[in-house]
Amino acid sequence: MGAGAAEVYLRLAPGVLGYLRAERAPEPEDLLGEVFLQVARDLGRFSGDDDACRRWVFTIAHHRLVDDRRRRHARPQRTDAQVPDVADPRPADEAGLDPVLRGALAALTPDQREVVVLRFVADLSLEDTAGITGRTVGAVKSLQVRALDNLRKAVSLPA
Amino acid sequence: MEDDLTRRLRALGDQPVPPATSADHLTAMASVGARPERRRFGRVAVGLAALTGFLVGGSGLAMAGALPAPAQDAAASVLAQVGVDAPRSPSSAYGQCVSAASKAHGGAGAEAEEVDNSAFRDAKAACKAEHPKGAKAHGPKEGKGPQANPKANDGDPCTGPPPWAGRMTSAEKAAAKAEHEPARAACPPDDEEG
Repeated sequence: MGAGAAEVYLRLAPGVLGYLRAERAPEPEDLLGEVFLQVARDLGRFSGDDDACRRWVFTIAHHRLVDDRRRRHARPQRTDAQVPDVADPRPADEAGLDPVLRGALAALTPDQREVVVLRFVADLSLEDTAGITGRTVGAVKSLQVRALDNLRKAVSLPA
Repeated sequence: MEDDLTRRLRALGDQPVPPATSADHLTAMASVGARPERRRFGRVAVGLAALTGFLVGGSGLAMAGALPAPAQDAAASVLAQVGVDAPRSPSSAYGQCVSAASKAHGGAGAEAEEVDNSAFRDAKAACKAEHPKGAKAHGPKEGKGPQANPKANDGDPCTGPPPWAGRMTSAEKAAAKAEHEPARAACPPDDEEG
């Protein structure tokens, strides 16, 4: 790994981790490590400016997240550990991360959440978000408007 | 203009990675070698390689005389321009040989044939001996001429077309008629058959 990969990690890892947490990945930090291992492997083949690098890294993160969900769906993990009676809404390492907003994000539809997280948490443009999610820019705009409306309603009435 | 909601959303992406996690990830990344950039041949290089292969292969086949007749003659002509002596196709070599013999014996006209016919035939036979494949290619087609007619050669003089039917010179036709007509005269008339 050259200094380039470490630099990319220091610059973009917080955003990628925020994206994975907001998308409710079960183990966001493990997934973050997988994302940047791929970045370190493939950085030699990448060429582009900072915006292109951000788009490339979040595309990898998106694909890893989708793969992780498919894998977990196909092979659900079994555990012998005792299951708590009440679900813990906030893992310990995410305790300080705006629980009201995280709850509101969790209440969105998956499509709305995907768009609003890529647009604002990952700080990607409409075009980049459309490219990563495979939607048109118009569809992304529409989902974004509805998602923000739902979030505003939810955060103004905290549970 | 950014409102409070979007500011809070952006703040989710600004939370630092825990230091221990960050150190683990950077260590793991350091152990992974970056894949070298794939070297791919450009289109020009592929085109040049294909052209070179085509020229070398084509020249080799031409030198071996293994190309089809028209291609072999064309390749021989092209290679002759650059001083390389490649064989011509057998039929072309035979044709050239006969053409040269014809010119040597006074041209290919009917008059010349009468004047120097025997010498020309000898030269043509020599060409045939020298280029048997070419002579075969220039020979009569199957199914044409009295020799190729199985009915003419089945041994029964009373069936099939007469031996002097077909493409031959008047002298050959007269000779065949003189040889076979007595045998055919003894045949029963056509209306008595069947």
